[in-house]
Amino acid sequence: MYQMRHRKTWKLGRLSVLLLMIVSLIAGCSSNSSNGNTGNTGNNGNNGNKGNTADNDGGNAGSSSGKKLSFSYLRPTWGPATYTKNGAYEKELFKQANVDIDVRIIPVVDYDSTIKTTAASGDMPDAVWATGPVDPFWKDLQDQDAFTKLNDLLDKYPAVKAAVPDGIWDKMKDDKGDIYFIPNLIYPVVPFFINYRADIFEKLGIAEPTSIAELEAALQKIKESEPGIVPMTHGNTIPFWAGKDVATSFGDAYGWAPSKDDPNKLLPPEMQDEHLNYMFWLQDLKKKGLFDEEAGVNPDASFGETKFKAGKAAVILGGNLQSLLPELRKADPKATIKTMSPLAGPDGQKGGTRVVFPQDRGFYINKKAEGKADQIFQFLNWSLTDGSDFRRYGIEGKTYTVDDQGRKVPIPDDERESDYKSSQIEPLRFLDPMSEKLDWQAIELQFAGGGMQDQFAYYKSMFEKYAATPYNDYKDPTVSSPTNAKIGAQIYEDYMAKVSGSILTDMKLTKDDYIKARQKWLDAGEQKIIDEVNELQKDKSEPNYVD
Amino acid sequence: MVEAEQTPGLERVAEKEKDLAAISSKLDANPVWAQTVIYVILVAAGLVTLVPIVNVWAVSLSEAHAVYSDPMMLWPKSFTLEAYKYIFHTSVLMKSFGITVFVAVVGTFLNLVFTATGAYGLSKTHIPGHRFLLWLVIIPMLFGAGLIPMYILLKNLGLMNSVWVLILPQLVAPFNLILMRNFFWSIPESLEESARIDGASEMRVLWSLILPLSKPVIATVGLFYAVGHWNDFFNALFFITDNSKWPLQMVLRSIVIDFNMLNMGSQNTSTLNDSSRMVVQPENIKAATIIFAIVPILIVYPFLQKYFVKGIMLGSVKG
Amino acid sequence: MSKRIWQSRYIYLLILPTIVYFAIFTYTPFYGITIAFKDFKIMSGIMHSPWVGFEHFRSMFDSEKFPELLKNTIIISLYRLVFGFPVPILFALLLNEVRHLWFKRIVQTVTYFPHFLSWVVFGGIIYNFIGPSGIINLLLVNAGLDKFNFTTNADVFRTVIVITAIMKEFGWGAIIYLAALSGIDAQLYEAAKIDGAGKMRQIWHVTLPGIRPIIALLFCLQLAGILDAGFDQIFIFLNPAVYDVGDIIDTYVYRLGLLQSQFELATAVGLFKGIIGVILIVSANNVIRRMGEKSLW
Repeated sequence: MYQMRHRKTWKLGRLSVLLLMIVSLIAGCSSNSSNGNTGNTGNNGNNGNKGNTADNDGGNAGSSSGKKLSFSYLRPTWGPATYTKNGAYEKELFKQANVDIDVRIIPVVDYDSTIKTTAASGDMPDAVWATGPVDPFWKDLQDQDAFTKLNDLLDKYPAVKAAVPDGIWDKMKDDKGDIYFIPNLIYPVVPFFINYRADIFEKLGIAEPTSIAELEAALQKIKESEPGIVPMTHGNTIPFWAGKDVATSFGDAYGWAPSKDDPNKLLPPEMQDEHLNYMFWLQDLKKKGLFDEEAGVNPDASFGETKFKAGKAAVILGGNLQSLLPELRKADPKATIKTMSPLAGPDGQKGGTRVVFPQDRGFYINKKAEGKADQIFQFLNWSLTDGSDFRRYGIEGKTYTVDDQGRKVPIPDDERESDYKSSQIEPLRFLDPMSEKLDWQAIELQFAGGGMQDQFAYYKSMFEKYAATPYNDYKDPTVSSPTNAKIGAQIYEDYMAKVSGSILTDMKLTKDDYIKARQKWLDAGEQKIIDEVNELQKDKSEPNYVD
Repeated sequence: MVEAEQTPGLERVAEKEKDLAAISSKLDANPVWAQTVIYVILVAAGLVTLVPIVNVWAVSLSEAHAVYSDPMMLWPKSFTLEAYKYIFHTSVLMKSFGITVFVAVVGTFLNLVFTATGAYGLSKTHIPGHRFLLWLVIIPMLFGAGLIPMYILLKNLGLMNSVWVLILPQLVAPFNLILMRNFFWSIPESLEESARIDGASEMRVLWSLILPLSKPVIATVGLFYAVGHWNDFFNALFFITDNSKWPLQMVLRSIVIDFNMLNMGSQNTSTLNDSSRMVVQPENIKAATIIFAIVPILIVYPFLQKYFVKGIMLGSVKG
Repeated sequence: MSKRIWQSRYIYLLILPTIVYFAIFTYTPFYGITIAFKDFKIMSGIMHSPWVGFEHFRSMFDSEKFPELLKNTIIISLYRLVFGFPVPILFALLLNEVRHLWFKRIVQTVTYFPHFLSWVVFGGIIYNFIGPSGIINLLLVNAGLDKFNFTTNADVFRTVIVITAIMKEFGWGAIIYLAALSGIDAQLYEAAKIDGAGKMRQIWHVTLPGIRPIIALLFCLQLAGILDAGFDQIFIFLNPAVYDVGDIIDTYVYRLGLLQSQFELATAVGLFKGIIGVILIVSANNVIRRMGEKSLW
């Protein structure tokens, strides 16, 4: 008995020693990290301010001289989050630009929820990616004075200002003319081609369709003669949007457009017959078994491209041509893909492409980091002037090679060393000028790098055919109706989400059902939103984002 | 010395088990038809749950393009180890694996220490204020304050970006505490009384009487905690800003989940540019990452199973 | 009283670390619940944002969709309770009857696999079975039958949700019961056998009473979570065509929050769910106690 008790005391002792160790470990670690944190923020703040005054005095000479620029940056990433700090590319960039950027990445699927919580907790980094003033949340935050005003800096660094077309800067201005947001640009013409299996069409003796009616007939023929093959599917997004360029053949610009009765009144797509015609045409195709039965059903939107790559679909709306062909060839080495020219509509409308607003997110500079704004602009300025080549092409032999004509050919991602893969470079990207957004030489080199040089000329001609007839969304995305910000999302969910979301899944849903739901939606507040938009948006002419 | 003392007890238990087994085999065998039905049901249940994981396993060992034509394969097609090579060459994945193992091991240990002491205290329903203390534990199960105040708190505590932010805010899960407390509660009071007569302190009663009797529930709760740590990405997403300190699930998430899968495009068209920009990982890499992340935690369970199988014999402990 | 407190001082000491933990990490942030009653302005912070009283609750209860959302949430939860809750218990009881240890362990391990697949992944695999081009429909077509719509069919949506949830979690859910089963005093079986009790009577008189407290506890807790109908799963399976039967409070709030960041609404909904939870936990516990069983207190 005595011995037993002895043993247990010993065990107890062992436990308490262990507990003590743990407690001290916790204490040690947390105090360490808190020291680290406060130290960091303190440093950053002070350095930033001092650095700023110093720079104003004459630190403008260039990035090679003077103090190292240093700031934090928060950004979404679109692929695997394998970015590693202090990689070789990053080191080289920091050396050349004389910066030190503390990058935080968030996978894009989680970006919005994470950054909104972070912002709401008052803890934003110096430079932060955001949706910008087109989004009510960010507009509200911007109006609450959360960000640094950029007007003076844009005047001071003309290279930054010149990177973005004036028309876009104008859109970024608030009603006082102040700019807070640096937009990330995209080229407004992004055609979603109607791609098809030329070999299957040839085998069945079908000529390339030139109109909606011919497309339908072709699909019908494929359905009858090739039972294992889905006549038509769609690319990686919701079906209606994947078909945005087919929609143009119905005169549907998939956006706000002037009312037929009153050209001075803009109406949302839900109110336009053209849009309804397009959506219910797709429903009809699906009823007839001509459009993929999984459209609007499969929660993973990539199913269509998967089918096409496996050789199990004949036509695909949208879809990334550069990945479709090589993958399809693995399944069927003799397969060939071609693109239909824009189709003529049922009433003879001319098809084309739905143009998009040339801004997709962008970034703000935190008001708390106002002292560093000048440094950040210095860095942006460098990346658009002296550092332009480095930003665009990277490092010779690592991210590009020079061919015999002296052109810089990018090395495909899977052939690069791991430190130079796009997942390492993407988090360090800031602003690319509009002038580089549609650079045919660069696209040709991309095709060449991917071993598809022969496809380039055809691709370019198709691009031009689609771009020849642009369809625009008349609404200025930066115009925000107060009612919409307050209840817009809710009334859409309450009255429209079900009908507009189940056109392709509920075959019994008719246009009448849709119109009935729409009336309730209008009564619940959408009519007020429409009126407000028309009131607020003075310029109701068709926008032109291309020139 | 210590070993020698333990053996007689263990032998006694083993003998008793043998006796019991002998009795069971005589008296307690189910009729053959009943046995057959039981086995058939269990095999069916096993197959149903096995299919999904076999599918993921087969995909992980196939070439990406072979998956397009047969996504429901149960055996690899165009066998390749490419996907696993990718994983073992991605240093971020290997590093995050280490962090997850650390969090799971250290975290679970701390969880058990705090949960067991709290559960034991709360199992004493006679102490004044017991009901109040119990409600202090139940309320966090039903109400949450939301992320914003939590964020501010963790920042003020200096826990942001520290590996401890994956452990300390989850130190005690109310559900696990109540589970363990109810097990403790059901242990007959008379056992403890006899120990107390021997002059044992509360800590001693807990350590040398209650805990040994509660191995099954400790194993269960420990497993729950370990799996919770293993699957956690949420805390890292918000509170770990340096991605070199991310746990495995956070990296895995960026590989396995892409924009297409969450049907997010249906919300508005502006985010649809993401779909075209998304670097979608080949299916075999996604699958291999999943396998890589779940195999280690799967292996834990069989090791714990001995605690579930062995029936406790209160009598032998008393004797 | 004070004497009883003093006598129990070591017990309080053992509880103390847990209470300190909850005080710091749960109760300190509780001031955030006031967001539900405020017009939250980010730059002003939680404390300095203006009060708006019950406006967010009003907008929740007055919403056109609220009655439907509440109904769907409760019905799906009740289905889970009625059909899903007993499955792990039955499964554990069956496993308990297996005499071959190796077989028992393999089945135990295999059935716990799917718990580790996220709903995104598991849902994708399920879809490959039941989708319009999935294996089941392929078999139906090959057998000369019509395809059956599992995925966008309001008639079967809730059934699909409940069955797939059971498939994914029954093995995991059984672990608690297996632990409880192994806690039953083996001598009780011995005694029952000596009394000549057959297999069924042993299960009825020894096994079930042995795990009844844990069944009561888990039932009580699951009932309290009735307004959590399983967001992760339903989010993956939901489709506008089945909104009428499948849209729950959480998925609706999520969709609203995705477009605007409605911290206030989300907090108000959380508070509402918590209050319902408290009411249910107290009533369930009282009923169970009246039936002579221990559950929470």
